[in-house]
Amino acid sequence: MPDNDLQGEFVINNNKLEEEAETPVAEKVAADAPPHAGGKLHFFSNFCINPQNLIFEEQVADEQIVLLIRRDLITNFPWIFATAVLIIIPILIRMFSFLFTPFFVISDGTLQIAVLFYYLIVIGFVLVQFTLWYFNVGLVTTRRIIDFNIAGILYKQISETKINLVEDVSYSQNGAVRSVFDYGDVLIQTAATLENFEFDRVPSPVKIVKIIADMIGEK
Amino acid sequence: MDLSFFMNLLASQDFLVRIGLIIGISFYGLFALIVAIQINNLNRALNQVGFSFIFNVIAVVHMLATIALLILAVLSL
Repeated sequence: MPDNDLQGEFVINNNKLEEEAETPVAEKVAADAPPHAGGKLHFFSNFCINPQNLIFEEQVADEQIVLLIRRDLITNFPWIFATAVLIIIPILIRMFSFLFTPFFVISDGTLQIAVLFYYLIVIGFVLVQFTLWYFNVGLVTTRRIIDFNIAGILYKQISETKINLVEDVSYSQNGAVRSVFDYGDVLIQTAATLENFEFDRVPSPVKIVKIIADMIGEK
Repeated sequence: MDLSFFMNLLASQDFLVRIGLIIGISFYGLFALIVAIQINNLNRALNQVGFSFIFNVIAVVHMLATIALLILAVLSL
C-alpha cells in the first residue's frame, strides 16, 4: 500500500492548516473580533482587542497584548450618582440656611473656604473611584494572563499566569441588570496548585471566554 | 467654669471653624499626596500612552489645589 494515498483536497487543506498555525494569535483574535472592539484605547475603554497604545511594566519584547478588559461602564453608575448628589448638597443647605442662622454664624470668608474644601473632597472622591475602575484591569497577552486588582488606593495586587497553565475558562451572568447590559464574571481556572483568576463584571463575557478558549486550545 | 467661657466660645465660632478647616485640609493634603503618588506608580505599571500623563497631571493638580487652599485658610486667620 502506498504511503501517500490521500491526494487533492486533503493536500490543500494540510497547507491551509499550516498557514493558520503560522498566523500570530493576536492577528487571529483581531480578525474574529467585532469591528468596534480593536485599535486605539481610550480612557473609558472597557473592552479592547489588540490595544495599540498600552504598555505594562513587565512586558517582554515579543509579547503582544491581545485583550484588555475592565469592569463594565454601567458599574460606575453608583459613584457617579453619589457624586451628583454630593454636588447639589451645598445648594440645598444654602436654600435652607435660615434654619441654622440663629445658632451657627460664620463669616463669608470662612464659608467660602469650607465650600471649596467640600468640593475638593468631592473631586478627591471622583479621582479615587475612577482610579479604582481604571486600574482594575485584566490583560490577556500572547504569553500570559495578568490581573491588576486594586481594591483601595493603598491596596494593589497583580497576579499572572502563563497561557499554557490555563485549564479551563467559564463565565457566569446572574440577574436582570447583568443580562440587560451584557456583563458578567469570567473565571479562569489554572492548574490545581495555582490561583484561579476572576475578572468580575466585565463586558461581553461570551467573547472573552471565546478568545481565551481559542488561545488555550492552541497551546 | 462660668457661663462667660461658653459665651466667649460661641462668640469666636468663626475662629474655631477656621482652625477645624485648617486641620481638616492638612489631613486631606496628606491623602491627596498619597493619591498622587499611587496614581503615578500605577501609571508606571500600566502605561496608556496619551492618557497616563494627563491622569498624573490631574492628580498633581488636585494635590496643589489642596495646598493652595491650606495656604489661603492659614493666611485668612
